[in-house]
Amino acid sequence: MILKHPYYNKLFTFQLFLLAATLPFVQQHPLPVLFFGLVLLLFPWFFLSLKDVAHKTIKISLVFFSLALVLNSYGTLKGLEPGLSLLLLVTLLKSSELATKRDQFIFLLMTVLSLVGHLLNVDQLIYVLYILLMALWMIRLFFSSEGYDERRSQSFRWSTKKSKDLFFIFAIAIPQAVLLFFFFPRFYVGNLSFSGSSPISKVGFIDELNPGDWSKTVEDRTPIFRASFQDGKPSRGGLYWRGAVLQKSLGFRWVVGDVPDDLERWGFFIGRGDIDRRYRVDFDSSFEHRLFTLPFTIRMDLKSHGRVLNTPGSLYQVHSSQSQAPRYEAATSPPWGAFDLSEQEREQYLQVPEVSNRLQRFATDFKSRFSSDQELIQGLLAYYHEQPFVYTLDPGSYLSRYPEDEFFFQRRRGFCEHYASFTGLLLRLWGIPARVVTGFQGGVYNPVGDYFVLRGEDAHAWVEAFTPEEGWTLVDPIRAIAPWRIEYGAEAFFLQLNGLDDPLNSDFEMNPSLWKRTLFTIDSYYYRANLFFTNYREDAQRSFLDYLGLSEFSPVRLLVFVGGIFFAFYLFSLFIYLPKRLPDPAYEMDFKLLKQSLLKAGFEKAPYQSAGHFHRLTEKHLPEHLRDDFSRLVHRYEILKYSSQTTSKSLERDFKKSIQLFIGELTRRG
Amino acid sequence: MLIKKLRLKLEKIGKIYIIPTRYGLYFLLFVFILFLFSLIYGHSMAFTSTFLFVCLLMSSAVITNYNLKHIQVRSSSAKITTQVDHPSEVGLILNSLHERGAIWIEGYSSSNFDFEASPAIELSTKEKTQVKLSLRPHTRGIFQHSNWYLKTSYPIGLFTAWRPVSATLTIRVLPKSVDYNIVPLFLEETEMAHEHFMLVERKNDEDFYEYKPHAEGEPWRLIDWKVLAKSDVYLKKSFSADQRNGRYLFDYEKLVDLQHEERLSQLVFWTLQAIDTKIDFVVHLPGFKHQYFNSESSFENLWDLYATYKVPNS
Repeated sequence: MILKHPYYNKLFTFQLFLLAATLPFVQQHPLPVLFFGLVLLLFPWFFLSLKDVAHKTIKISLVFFSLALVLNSYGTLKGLEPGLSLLLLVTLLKSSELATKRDQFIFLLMTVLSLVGHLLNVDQLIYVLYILLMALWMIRLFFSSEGYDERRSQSFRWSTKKSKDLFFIFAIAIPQAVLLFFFFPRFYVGNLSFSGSSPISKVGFIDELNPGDWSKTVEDRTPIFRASFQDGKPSRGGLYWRGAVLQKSLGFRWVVGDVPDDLERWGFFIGRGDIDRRYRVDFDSSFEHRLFTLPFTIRMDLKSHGRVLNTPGSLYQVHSSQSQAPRYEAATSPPWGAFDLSEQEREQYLQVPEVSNRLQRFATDFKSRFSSDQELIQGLLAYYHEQPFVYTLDPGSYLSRYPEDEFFFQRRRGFCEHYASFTGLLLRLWGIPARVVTGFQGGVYNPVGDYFVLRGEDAHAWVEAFTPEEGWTLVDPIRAIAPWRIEYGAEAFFLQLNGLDDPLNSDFEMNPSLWKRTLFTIDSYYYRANLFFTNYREDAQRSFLDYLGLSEFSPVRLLVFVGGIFFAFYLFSLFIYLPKRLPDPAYEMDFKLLKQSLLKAGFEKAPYQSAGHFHRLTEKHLPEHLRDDFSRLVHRYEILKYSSQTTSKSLERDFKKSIQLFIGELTRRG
Repeated sequence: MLIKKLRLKLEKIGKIYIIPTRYGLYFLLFVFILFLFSLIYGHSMAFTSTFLFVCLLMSSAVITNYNLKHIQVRSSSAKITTQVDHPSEVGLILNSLHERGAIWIEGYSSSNFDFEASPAIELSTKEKTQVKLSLRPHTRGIFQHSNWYLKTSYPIGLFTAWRPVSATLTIRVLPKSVDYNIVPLFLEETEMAHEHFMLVERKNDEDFYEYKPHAEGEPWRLIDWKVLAKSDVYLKKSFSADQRNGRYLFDYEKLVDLQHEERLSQLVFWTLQAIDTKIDFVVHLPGFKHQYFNSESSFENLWDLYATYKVPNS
């Protein structure tokens, strides 16, 4: 029953707007905030039904509760994400008071503000369209919100005229916005104190590997980043994008653990040595702080805002006050060759949890067959290949006391996580220092744009083993079990695995179908446009101006230039809408004729005289037979001029005829 | 040449003033916050949003401004009659070359009038639209009001624009019609009526009609004393005028207990009642001859008299 009340209708419309504006970004908020937000969304009438004082008290305490909740969830109030969570909660609280037009307007503005805030995390060209739609909806809501028009009358409702004007506003606003986008001088203000980086990681990887927990991630087809190479397309099989290194084995599970500090050794290579391969990575959205890099990356040039941190395990992270999608150029060196681990490192990388006797026995037996570490590793890969190990995304859960035993000896079903985890453990049992690395592998190559797209489905885990002769070498058991996954990439492999297609038989990438080619082309153009859009800052603007031949322009001159363009635009619009004089209606012209002929006869109508006044003065001097006609004409003229009705054509024609008759009569008599 | 032409045209439409409304100010604040966002985060998305909303603001200002151009305002040449403190409607005619959004018209309030804005209307192309706005006069008199302004906040309500226009309207303000309950106006010819509203005496017997017997209760002064002396019969003269209702005299000077304005108010009250009930009457105001009005005549002169009457210095 409550839902039928017009107020709640309005409330739901506004809440729907809020939902539409924030729902796509819901994953950016932690769970407690979302839960509390849901409560506020579902029960605003609970707060409404309270009496005045209680209402205010409860609302103020809810604001404080929101503040505490955000502080508790993020550990800080600084930064974009805590700010957005707080804004979201306060906006939802605001939805419990939408009684006046002012409240509704503020609610809409707060919602749009939080939308823009959320968009800062995605940085995608496509979202410009989204914000445009939302702006359209916002203004539409404001149009129809109660009391929009201060002097509204009953007849004033939403009309086609209004929709036309609404679209007209957008039609003239959008080109202006585009102009401003290109020419408004950009300058970097620097990090203001109230922004801080978010301590919450949102998507993808956590510092732990628990075999089986990625089965959802690898079904995700959202692009994570795109990578292009300067020196031609490398082979996909060699593209391992390292994201996290897990050193501590808890049996089947791996965690980051106590990190051995190898920064000193790594630091020796950074910025020196030969360059093997240069590449560029552009993220689609901000993805924690990890910068995914190829092994032996020694140069890192961050193109987005922030500072690069070198972290243990030869990994890179970005430290930025802005959750901006990272973009960087990097270069790898050839493998570093032989070196030795320190005692402490060796100890860390050989740490093994308690394992079953059966596994221990297997390890000892297997090792005895080979003479060197390299042979041992190759032997293991060969063993994986020969034995009936199955690559599947649906291996079920391993819940026994020794899940690694259940996996290796009994079921032998799993995907990269399972194999990497077990291989790392086995290598350590053999006395080979090993660590599990998570990240991405492969990706889809776009032949049109010459880059790789890495999606969630390309997530991968592998092992790095240490030998004194070669240093850290990559050991990927999947190469032995499902070589197609590595060679053809996850997309093609999963298609084939699901029996949907058999792309492995055809030359999938070099000879794509028309449909695929179209998709590749669209993706390629979008990628380039997006790159231009997101990178359009001081330097990009400068080179754009250079391209246009406006290289002389300083920011101040640019501002004057933009101002000039806008002034010209508005002057132009003024000319377009230049006041056109309303044309004199037909009866005015006819009456003018009458006045002229009377002037000839010696009766002049002064400008201050109304028609009636003129008539009273003139009538008695006219010949008697014309008086009646004259007063009838004046009367008709007054009706035509002052009636609120629109004059009909036939009436005007009649008037004209009688005027002509009258003039004829007047001139005949002299 | 062009500038001169432009200036002439601008003069013809008059100046259009525009300021942000309260909601416009909120919107400006919002845009400012977005701009800060953009500077802090140096982010293309933030800049784009800011530019979009700034341009929406500017475009809506242009449309609001444009909404008031090319509109003619006309007033009726007929006098509008109203009373002091009596809210009444006046009509103006708007004529537009194009379709318009919501526009309303207001008068510049003065010591003589308070104006209330008209309801917002939408204008259609080349059609006359009548707008009614209510006014409340403060003093009696005949006034000409020609200063009005068209106002609009169409389309989004972020800006209010107004434009002064002129259209002369003659407004005649009568004294307030008030009954001070001195004497109710008798609608039938009774003795009480005769006492207070003296019938007009006749000058001669030209319109003598017949003798009628005098009935009990009728005023003694109707008796024809000559006939009584001759024949001892109570007869009264009846005149042809008596076939109609009698004429009532509304006399300013008789209302001794009242102030000047109150007297006029009482006279207006009686006059309106007499007109409503179709009674012929005579108004007597010092300095003017008795004026006779019957129900068929136009009362224009009388209204002008009431609106502008001043007691002559004796």
